[in-house]
Amino acid sequence: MNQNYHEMPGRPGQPGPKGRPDSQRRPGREGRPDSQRQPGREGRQSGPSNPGREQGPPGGKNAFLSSFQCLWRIAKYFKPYIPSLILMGFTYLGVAVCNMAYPYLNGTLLYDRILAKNPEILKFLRLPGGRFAVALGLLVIAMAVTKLLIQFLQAVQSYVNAKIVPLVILELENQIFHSMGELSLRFFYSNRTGGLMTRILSDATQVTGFFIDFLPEILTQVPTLIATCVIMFVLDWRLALVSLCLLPVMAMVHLMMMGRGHVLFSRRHRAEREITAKLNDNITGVRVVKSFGQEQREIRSFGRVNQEVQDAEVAITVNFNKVNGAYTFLENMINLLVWAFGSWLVLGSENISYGHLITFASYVTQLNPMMRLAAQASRQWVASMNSAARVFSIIDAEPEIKESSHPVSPEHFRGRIDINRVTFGYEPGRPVLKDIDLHVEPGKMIGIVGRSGAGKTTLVNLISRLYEVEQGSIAIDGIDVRDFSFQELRRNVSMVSQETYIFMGTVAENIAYAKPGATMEEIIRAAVMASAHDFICRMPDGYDTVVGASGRTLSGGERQRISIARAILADPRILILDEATAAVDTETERAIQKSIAYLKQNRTTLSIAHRLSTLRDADYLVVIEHGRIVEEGTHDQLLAENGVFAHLMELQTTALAMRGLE
Amino acid sequence: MELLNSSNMKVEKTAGGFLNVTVKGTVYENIKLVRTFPFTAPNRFISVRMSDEDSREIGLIDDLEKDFAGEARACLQEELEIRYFTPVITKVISVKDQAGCSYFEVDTNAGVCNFAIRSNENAFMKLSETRVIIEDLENNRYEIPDLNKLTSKERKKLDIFL
Repeated sequence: MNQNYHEMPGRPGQPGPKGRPDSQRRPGREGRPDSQRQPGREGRQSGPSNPGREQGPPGGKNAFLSSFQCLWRIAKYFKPYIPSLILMGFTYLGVAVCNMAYPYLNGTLLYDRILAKNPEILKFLRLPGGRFAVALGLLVIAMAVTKLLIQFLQAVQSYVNAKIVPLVILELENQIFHSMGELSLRFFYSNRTGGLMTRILSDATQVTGFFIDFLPEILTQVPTLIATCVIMFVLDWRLALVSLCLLPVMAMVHLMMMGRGHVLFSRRHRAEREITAKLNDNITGVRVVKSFGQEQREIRSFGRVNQEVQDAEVAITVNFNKVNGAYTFLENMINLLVWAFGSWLVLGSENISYGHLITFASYVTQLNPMMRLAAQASRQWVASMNSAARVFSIIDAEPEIKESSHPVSPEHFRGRIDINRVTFGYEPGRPVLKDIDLHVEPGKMIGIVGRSGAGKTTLVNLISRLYEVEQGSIAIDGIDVRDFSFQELRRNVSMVSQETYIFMGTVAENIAYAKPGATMEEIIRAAVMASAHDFICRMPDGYDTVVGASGRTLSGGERQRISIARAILADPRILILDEATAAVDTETERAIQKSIAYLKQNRTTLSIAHRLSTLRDADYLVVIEHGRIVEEGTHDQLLAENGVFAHLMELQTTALAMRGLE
Repeated sequence: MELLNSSNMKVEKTAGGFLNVTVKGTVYENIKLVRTFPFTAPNRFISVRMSDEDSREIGLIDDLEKDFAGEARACLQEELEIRYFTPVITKVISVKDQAGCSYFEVDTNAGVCNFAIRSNENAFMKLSETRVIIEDLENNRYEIPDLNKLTSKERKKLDIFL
């Protein structure tokens, strides 16, 4: 029995229960020193928590991150690749030098030296008199080598870039996923799935778009631009001033359009988020859509959302086409001015030759792609920084529920639960649980009864710290649940709920989810006890069958039995059954009840059930109404009290009798 | 969970080629063997099942190689090989794509085979980085135990599916 089951592949981000030491913390995660992340007990009784705390941009410091702060933080992700970046720097420099040399070769050298048959050039090349054809040949070779060198250096840049950027995207995506894993349930319930998926799948890639498509080009072009300007001033300061006189106008146009661009990209993100959410709704809810024949309505609704994306995209394109148009106009104006003023100077023979003007014009032409690049880069810049702000809003989000800085790990868990005057609400000022006081002895089974919305599930969620208690406290074996490490708490408190979830992976991996090191025998034993072994054996690949999103579909009862097997394998001291059999047929329920009967032996069990007959075996029952415990006692005591429980029992017995079930 | 081995289960092959077993004095005829972990541990935890409608489990063989020997093991092994017959692909001769289906001609340990899969469905099941199971349109399975043992030309033919 030495073969272990390992964690499912492709599911990173199981957040480490012990937190992450500083040395392992990833780049770009700021503003959360450990001292602040692990507040002590004194911070706890501070009244109602802030439900919106994990929600990102609207409330966090991240809302104030400027584009340049974002740029700086993204740049930190490139830190591990400094040697490659230095290599890239040299290639940029090389390209800039070659770009500078080329206009000189095909301008001044070609026209004013070789074609003008200037003997100085032959002397410089140490060629005998009259060999201008050889000089021309050498010049052509030099021009070809320059172009080839530029191409080679750019190929090196692309290669290094292609090597680094995917790794940075990967790191960003992993970090977003990891940060999400640390956030509480409240964050996931208050953020739409579509928006969260867009942040991982699209924003992380978008962030690096500027770095992939434009930054290398800009880095090549900036030294070229500076050198070009210097050379232009050296060649003729008057022509240089004419060439650059319209640059301030360009800068103004640029800044105006960039501001508008930020607004438009935010609008597009909102539209994309809507469309992802719509798709998610329609794919997961396809059965409801089809069973109510609402396909056409959904198609129309999707069309509307899709139209919003299109409108946003068109608005962005129009805005940046305006920038492009303005740039092209100014570019043409500059060319025209240089040629007009230059020709006037040549005609006036003011120490300027035709070749000189050609060389100068070549340098001016070299400015054109740089201007066009600036126009295009501004679009990507806005898009990337917009996405970066959203990505960092997740990475910077403060987890609402934090692990104690000195977590307690008792050697032996007995399973006593003390709920001391607990009050809790999902929204400030609207408590769902009010002053709950409940004490459960180890090994006992407590049934929790109440109408829908009474607060039963909320109560059990507080025990396993899926939400944080606001007032009062919950203790297990006398220790406050906030003092346990997450790992210790979750290992000893397991929940089987009505909403079972099967992860993408094999059946064996799903059963061993809470105990990745389980042996095959342990997995089979758990499945046998959960009455799952037989249906698993009927699958062609048995425990190796891939189930979940892209695998075999399981029925409600099969999923439920796998989730019970998961709980059996986890072997917790405290078991929470939250309507564990509500979604299955009577026969399956009977099989599951048998499994549960085994499961609850020697452990503390809290069972929520609407079907009150399933709670007959409970040692003690509590009835919750409007967030308060209104009755408690044994089954017989509560019936004798003739209160809420007796009333509910009577209603159910009558309803079942009418259906001929009891 | 009843664990079976040579001391508590007798195996016998009938003239018709079926398997009968005797456990605690009860004879079970025409039993069925199910690999609970057919990919990760084909010889571990073999479920021995009755041939009735519910296919009830008689017990589990923890490790076929350790718990049985000689003729009994050979009989059980043979039964499993028949039930889980999966030709092993040794050479990919050709892959042609036509009208949404991909037609394979491969050489296997059982001879040359031709089969088809739907091009846009997940007919390739990757059991590890190098081990692949292919399920054709008729639910027949073929195994490539090690992709690295194929030539680069053969691997290129499969690239689109992996």
